[in-house]
Amino acid sequence: MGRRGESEFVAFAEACRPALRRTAFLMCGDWDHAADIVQEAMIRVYVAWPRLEQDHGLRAYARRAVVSVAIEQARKRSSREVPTDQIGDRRVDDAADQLADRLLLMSALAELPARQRACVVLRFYEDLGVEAVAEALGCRTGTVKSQTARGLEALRAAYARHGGELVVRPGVPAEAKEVTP
Amino acid sequence: MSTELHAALREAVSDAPFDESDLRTVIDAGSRRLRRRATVRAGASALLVAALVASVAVVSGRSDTEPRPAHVVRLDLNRAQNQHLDVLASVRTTLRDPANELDHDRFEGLTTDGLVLRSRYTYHGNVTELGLLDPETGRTHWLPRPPRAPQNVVELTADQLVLFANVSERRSDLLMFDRPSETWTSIRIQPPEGIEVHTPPQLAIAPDGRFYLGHNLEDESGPMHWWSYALPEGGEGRPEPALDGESVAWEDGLQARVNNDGRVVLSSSAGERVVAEERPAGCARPADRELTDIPPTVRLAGTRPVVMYVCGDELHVMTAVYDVDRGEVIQVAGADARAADEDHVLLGADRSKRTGVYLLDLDRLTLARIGPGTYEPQTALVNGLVLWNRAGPLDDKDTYDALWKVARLPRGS
Repeated sequence: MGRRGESEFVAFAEACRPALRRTAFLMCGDWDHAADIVQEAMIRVYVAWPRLEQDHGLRAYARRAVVSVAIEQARKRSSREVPTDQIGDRRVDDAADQLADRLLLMSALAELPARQRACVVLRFYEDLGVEAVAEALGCRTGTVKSQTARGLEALRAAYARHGGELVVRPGVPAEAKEVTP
Repeated sequence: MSTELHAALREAVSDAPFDESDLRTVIDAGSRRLRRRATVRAGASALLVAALVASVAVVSGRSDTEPRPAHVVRLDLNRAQNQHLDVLASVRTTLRDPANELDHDRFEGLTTDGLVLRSRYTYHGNVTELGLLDPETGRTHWLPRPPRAPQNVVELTADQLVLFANVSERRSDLLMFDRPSETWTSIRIQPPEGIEVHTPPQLAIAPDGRFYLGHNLEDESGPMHWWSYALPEGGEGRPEPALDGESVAWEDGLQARVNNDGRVVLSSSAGERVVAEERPAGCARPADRELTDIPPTVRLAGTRPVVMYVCGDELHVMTAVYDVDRGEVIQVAGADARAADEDHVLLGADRSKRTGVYLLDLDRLTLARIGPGTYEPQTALVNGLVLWNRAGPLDDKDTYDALWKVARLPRGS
């Protein structure tokens, strides 16, 4: 890759890496592991860089790479990950509730098979439409819908087991929308 | 305690710790990977010089060892005429709340005696029903309840229905329904360890009477591995290393195989023919094989191997039908083979400008568009009948709507 291509890659990577890392975290439940996923994904993007379309194609390819790496690594792990306890600095009075909420969410996500988890994260965190999720996962839109439905069902069941209730705000945007850093 | 999913997901990542990773590491690793690939390609180019001597060839006629160049016939989706088929039977599933409903009513396949295998699932109660619908009368004969809910069709004949139920990563069941006695038999199949459960298996009962299971392994991106199982014993699979790395199809005593390099082999008790030595021109394997290398798949249209390739980094698809007797290769770019019978191939085009379902007539070498693009995997071409599906008019981001249709092929088509 020439100097110009490399500088463009660096600018792209710097801009989108934080958002990709957040998506990867929701896919794996561990910030260090998420950084590893994004690093491997960015290496794949670097290798493919000269062939990639600019603008939308770059982010879509990078997202697809992150999801692919996360799913591959989830399959290779022999046991399910333990939800992270890295919650950062918070005020004492709301920290306990938020920690409990977050642990419940991450535990429930950890119970999902990798593709269901990817569907839930891409649909409800990245706010991607069904078609964009299908593109990221390399599957049909019908599969995205059924995997998402099963994922939500499992999440709701996990919340119910802990005496909670999970609700989904209606009206997930149909169009692909980037989560900006 | 009520939690809203969007808000909870955002809250969970709201305080990401500082990212200490260094982009220099990414660039160094990427550069090393590029250099390694360049070295591999240089080696492969030297081998290609030798391989080009053989070129794309069809072995045909009296000698199996004297290849002659194949005549390539390219059919263009854009030139296909729309063809209306009179639908004999249809079924529709509409889910206005797919997050909370999973009920379905759909067609799964066609039997060799011209009936439609229909499945109906009721989420509340978790009830799966299977029936045989006569498309001429519209009547469905509901079968005794199957022991498990099947996911895949293996074989549907006038004598038996063979279905596959992937119960877990450690257990699968082959469900065999004997049609004369209307009884189910469940044969437990021990799945091999380390299979990639998220990719679809290849399933077949071969002429040797054994059940063959083809699967990718977890740590490998492309090559298929094969195991066979004695019937009706089931149990542990016997590795079939001779088939590893290949997609395989069996029909009427013939076996067709294709590997990632596009080597197509047709076998029977009379011997083995190499039908093609390499992938079609303009259909290279992708450079980024870690992410996008998808192996070709094969099926048989009578004696003709039908191979679906995924080409290049753009992942465009191509179907090639190898007509050994005529010395022809029929190619359709932008479409993948979904089903085949003796004289036809059913093609789906999802990504081209002309999305749709197409019928390729192998005798007339014509292509007709019979409907919009397929939506679900269930398609079949058996005994003059065609099964396909499409998205329904209500299908959108919040609603699942799909239609399955069965029609008789026009006479003489």
